[in-house]
Amino acid sequence: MTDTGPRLLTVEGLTVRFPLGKGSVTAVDGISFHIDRGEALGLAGESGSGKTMAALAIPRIIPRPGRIDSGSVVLDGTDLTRLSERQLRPVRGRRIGMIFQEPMSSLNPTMTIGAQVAETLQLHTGLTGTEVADHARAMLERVRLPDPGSMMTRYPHQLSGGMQQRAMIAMALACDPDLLIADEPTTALDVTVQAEILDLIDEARRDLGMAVLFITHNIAVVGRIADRLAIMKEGRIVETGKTAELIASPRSDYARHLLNAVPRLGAGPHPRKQQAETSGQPVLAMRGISKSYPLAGGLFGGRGRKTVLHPTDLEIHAGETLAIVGASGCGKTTLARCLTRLIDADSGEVMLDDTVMGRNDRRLRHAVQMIFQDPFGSLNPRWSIRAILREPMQIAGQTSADQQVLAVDRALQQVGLDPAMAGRYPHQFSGGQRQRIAIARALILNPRVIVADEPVSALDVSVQAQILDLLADLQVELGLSILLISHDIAVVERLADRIAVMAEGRIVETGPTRDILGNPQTPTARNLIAAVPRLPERAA
Amino acid sequence: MTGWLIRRLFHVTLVMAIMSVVIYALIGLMPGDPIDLMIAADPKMTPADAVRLRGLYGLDLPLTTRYWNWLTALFSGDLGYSRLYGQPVGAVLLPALAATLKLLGLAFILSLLIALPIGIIAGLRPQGVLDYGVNFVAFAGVSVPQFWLALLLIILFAVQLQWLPAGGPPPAGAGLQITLIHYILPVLCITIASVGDHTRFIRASVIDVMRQDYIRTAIAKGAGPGRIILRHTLRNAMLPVVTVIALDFGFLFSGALITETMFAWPGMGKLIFDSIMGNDFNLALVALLLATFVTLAGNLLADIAYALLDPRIRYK
Repeated sequence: MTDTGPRLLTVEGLTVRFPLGKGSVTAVDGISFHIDRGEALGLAGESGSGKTMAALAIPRIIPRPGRIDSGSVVLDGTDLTRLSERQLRPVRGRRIGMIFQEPMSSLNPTMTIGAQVAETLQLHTGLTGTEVADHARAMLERVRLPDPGSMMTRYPHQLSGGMQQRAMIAMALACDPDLLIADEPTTALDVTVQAEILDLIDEARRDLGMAVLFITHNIAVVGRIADRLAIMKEGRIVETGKTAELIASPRSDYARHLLNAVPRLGAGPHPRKQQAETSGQPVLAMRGISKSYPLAGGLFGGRGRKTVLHPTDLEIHAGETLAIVGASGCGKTTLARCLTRLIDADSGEVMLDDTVMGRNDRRLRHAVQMIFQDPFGSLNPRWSIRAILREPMQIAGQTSADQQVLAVDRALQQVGLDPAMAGRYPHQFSGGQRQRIAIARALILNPRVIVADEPVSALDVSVQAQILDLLADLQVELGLSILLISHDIAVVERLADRIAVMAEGRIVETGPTRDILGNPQTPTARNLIAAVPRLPERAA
Repeated sequence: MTGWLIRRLFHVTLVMAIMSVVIYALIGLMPGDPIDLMIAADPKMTPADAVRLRGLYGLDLPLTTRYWNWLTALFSGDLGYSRLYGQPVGAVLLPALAATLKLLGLAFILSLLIALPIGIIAGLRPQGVLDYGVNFVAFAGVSVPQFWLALLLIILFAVQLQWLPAGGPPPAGAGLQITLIHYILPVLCITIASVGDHTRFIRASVIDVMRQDYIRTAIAKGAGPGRIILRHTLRNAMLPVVTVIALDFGFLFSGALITETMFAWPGMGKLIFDSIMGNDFNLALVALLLATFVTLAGNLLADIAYALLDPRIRYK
């Protein structure tokens, strides 16, 4: 915690509304808070709580048709809600810097990193061309991007997610702002990268004496760097307090609910979880599977190949949950796709029971079902839920229309949704509900194995726990085997019997969950465990 | 990029070769040949004359042999002789190509000059009064058939008002003013037919880009509207537009056939039409191949422009 100075920002009775038909939707409902100079305030809440709109309202960049209905936003004595667009421009970028959740889409794809960092300086300083370039390079160095000189001329798509977010931070800090607004800056990133970005923001704050407004759905993420926390729900702030005090003794039920949702290492397995048999005949196995892709370049085609998966063996037993953990790009998704034969491996074979599975083998397609990361992209927006759930049965072609409708109702009940909702379309559901629908779709053919590729990483922490519990319940009920893929080792603890740790296309460590967590043997496993955000000094 | 370009040029050559076979076969399979036309035109010709002439022109040879002969002649630089115009094909074709390209080029530039600003302004304020107006006019322009539009333009400006010539190229050695006057109606006709599509496409692209996260980033940096439009919106919005507009060039080329016929413009369209009607095989063949080549070249240019505009696209 740092000493904080005099008042920098005072928000009073801020209300943001979105006109909708004849009425309007209130996204932010008369909230008030303040930030002192050099202070870090964490604004936490679930999706739809209005926390992002509250943040965007400060420099007045709420998307149309939303608007500030009432209230004031006073920065150093000036009410920003009363300024004209032209008067606001010197405030944006110069006094208030912003970074966003999706660094890839927040950077202009057709401008170099250098040009985008330089733009902030060109807009707000009278520096000459070379001074701007020098300063921009210094900023890239400051956010510890490797080889800042060549980074200047690179484009966003040539950088990893973590590097893109560093570039965003360089851009936001270029003019030494008084306030940095960070809207879920690490949610789209790996846990290991998340820890680095958090450190970077905290370090910049101390060096520059800058205030930070940090928006997140995961209290553990801000717990380490925020001086104070404000908890938002349904457009209102329900509780504020010093970080340590609020975490130790939350007054509101909602704050307690958010705190309980944070995935914690060492919480132990799900209470209904039964010890699975992990020896004997596996349900699904892969032997010596490897995969490589041709590298770009050369006059006529490739210059060799990049191996993303070295020859790998893997077995999943009946009723077992096997978790594959590793950082982005370690090959875990490729492994899952080879195992389900969604892509062809270079070598090796996939076996269901003891039969080798060919390409597009119907037996494999029925026995193994997938759940994907993005519950928004993996459901066809033009199809009703009933149509989405019936399709696998229509392809299988073994049931009558009446039986299919009954099966849809049963599957929806299994995942905790009302069968009466079957006529609705995906956009009418929340992210967590959509992931339940995706699970229902996976269950509808009574599979034996479910492959879940990052099933909760696009969801709020509070919803993550519910989805994981649902998977655990279904596993006990139906005797399913689950292959769970995740970059977050805290997520898998609740569910996994065994963990396989992956790095650079290889499984580097395998073992029972308790052994891996309690006594990790490889640096990869130790890094993954250390990167899990922890609530500081939590009582209980 | 070099490797990609070499492969693409190879593809273009391949398509040209296939098209030459297809077009040659289609023309060869058409009922009637130039000698039939000669017989029809000259009652004194005997069947023996016809047989002799067919032998002279090589028309009695099988289609494959004729194609081979044509192909070898082509590679020695001999495009053949146009019976209809009594000149080598090259001498007829080149001025026609120049006339068409001038007409299309002017119409294309005019269409973009109108569509770019209007499309961008409409895209920046979607659902505004201007946007609805632009959409209405654009739809009207797209829906009007070109031949009908050409007739209306001729009736109004040439017949009723007598302001502009009804058709024909500018006379040789005419001054700039006279030359321009001859261009107005045909250029206008092609422009009206294409400007609606261009405007609507640019508008849709601008709307899409303005919704992107990086525009929000630019606003949060303190950039003003001018900078946001010029530096952040335009280049990104132009990516899909370039592709569609370059593909459109082939469409324009075929549209020119109607416009040129209506306005008696001595271009490729009219040439192709006349040569097919007059059974002038040599001319029709090369003219159609040239039209194919222009379309392929438009596509290739679009891909190159795309790579230059979008750093994410690197051909390999």
